Amino acid sequence: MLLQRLTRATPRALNPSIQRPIISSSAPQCRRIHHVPPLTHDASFKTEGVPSLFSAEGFDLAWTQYQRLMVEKLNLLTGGTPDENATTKTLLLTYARQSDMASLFNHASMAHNNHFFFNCLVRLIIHISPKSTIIPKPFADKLAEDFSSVETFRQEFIATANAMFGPGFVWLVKTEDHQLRILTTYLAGSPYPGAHWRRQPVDMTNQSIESAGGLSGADYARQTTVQNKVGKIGSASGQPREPAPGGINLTPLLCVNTWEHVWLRDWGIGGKRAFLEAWWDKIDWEVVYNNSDTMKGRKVGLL
Amino acid sequence: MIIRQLMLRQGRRALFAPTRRWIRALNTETIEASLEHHIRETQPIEEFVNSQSHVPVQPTDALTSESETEELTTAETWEAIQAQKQTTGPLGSALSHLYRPHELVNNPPSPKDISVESLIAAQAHLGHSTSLWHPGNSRYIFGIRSGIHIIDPSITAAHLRRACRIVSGVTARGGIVLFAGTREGQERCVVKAAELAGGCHLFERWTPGSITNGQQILARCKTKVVDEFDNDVTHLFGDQLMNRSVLKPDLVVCLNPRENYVLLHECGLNGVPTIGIVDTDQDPTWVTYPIPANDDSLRCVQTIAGVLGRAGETGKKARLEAADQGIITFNPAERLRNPGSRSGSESRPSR
Repeated sequence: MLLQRLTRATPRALNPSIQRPIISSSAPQCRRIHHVPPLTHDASFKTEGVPSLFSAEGFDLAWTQYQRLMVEKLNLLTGGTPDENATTKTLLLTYARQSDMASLFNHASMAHNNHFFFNCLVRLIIHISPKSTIIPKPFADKLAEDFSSVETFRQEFIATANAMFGPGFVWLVKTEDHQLRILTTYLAGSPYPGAHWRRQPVDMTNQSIESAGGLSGADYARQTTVQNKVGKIGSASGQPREPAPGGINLTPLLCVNTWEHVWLRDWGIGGKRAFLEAWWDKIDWEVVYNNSDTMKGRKVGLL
Repeated sequence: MIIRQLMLRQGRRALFAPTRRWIRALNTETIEASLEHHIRETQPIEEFVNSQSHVPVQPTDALTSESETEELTTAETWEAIQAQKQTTGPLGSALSHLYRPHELVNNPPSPKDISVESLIAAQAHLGHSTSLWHPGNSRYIFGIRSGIHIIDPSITAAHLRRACRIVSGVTARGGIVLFAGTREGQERCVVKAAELAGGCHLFERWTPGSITNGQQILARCKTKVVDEFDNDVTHLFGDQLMNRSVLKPDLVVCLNPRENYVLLHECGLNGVPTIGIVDTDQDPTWVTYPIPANDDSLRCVQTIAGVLGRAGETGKKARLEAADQGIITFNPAERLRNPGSRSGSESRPSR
């Protein structure tokens, strides 16, 4: 009888065969996770790189590993915050003006710009395709119109990228009045007008506010034009037409990533210029032309 | 161009006489600064060339030259913003999908989104307790777990795809599809599915006899006539509709057959094919085309109703596209006289 009582009194907690259900103390977390985005030509780039531009290891370093780093950092920085479901572009536009969230802006902008760069690369099958893709005629005409020739545009673009000291991006953008221009952004600067506080168009170590281009457009305008418009109304007063709410100031079409880790492995310490010239042949001009399509059917050159 | 020809004639030195250097500065400039720089450089060239030749050079100044592009309206600017968002918005990272219940109803998935993963996520594989099963649907059951039968989701997917083809086939031929779901919470998805397919919905109790005794029960309901473009042309056929019989659906999609036995029985008596969600405790022979799935999970029901609605939308779109090309894919209503013709001629035959 004593033994029976002892065996019956054995608490269930000591019985290893019973599975205890795990009760979570908080609600299940539901969030969207950032992943490395797929490229159009991912599969071939991973195995054979971008021929005559990146080796497979160089592509792995510049895209796979680096983008994974950016994306993991984004997940860590946004996890548990109200921004955990926001897209990369939304993050960079939201935090362009907050210096205490500079890390989040930098990683979001860098992820975005890096993807933009790799999105514009074409895959040419060796021995079958020509050396580079052809620029669609309307786009080539517009380039010739705005830069006096396509060759001038190429030289200017590469010279600008080569002259930048330090990491950054160089962009081909289309402005509000449909002009094509070259724009530089240092480090992880962003070309979007919504993030203009962090455009970083100049190297601040050697250009001050007084020198040319030291100020961004809005600041420069504010400091050089008349601000007081009291009493000026009507059609003859020279007031510009108010842009529509949220109007676009510029559209980025093409960019090159001049960060050293992108070209250092395949082109060496002094290989920046050679990398830029090799990159020129690997631009997918169809993608660039489609980026200029800000309205259905109204691409650059069809206006 | 003009400047180059002048250079050849006048010589490079003459044209490069001004002190400003023509090599564009390679320091980084803003757009506005670079534009002003450009204008400052080209104005002396224009002045020089204009002074030398009789043909004036076109000014490149943005203010004096005519703008080639017209001002965009607010609507066009909005369209441009949306197009740019689509192009550059997703760049940076790929975000994983997050389930949001309202999206399943407002923007339902299409038949190509049917996958085993999405059906399991919608709890379509969870059947009822093993003691309550109907042996007639044993072929759909994968196994048993936690005391319930598990429906094989790949079988669910196959049956759902078949049902989608049937719904789109019916709507492509101008048939009336009735979506019926009388359980609580099924109203929104039933209405949305009917809206997409251009059919009818039912989310309250089915009035028994609406098909078998339809002439009595539905006598007060109005009938309408539509042409091949789905435009209402009832006003042309007004007096001809007075003595017509009431309509019956050409296909019935029932989201809870368990509670709608009468509806399904009437359909069976009148030769109306039915599609229904059949759970492990239900008789699969009640419907013509069963979809073995979980009828108790609202997410599962919304997924299935949404997918069938999208399939109906595809069929309807195909019918309207054919009509645009003059091809009629349906049999026009019988014994309707062409409006304006006195004789008892048939309406125009279909191809």
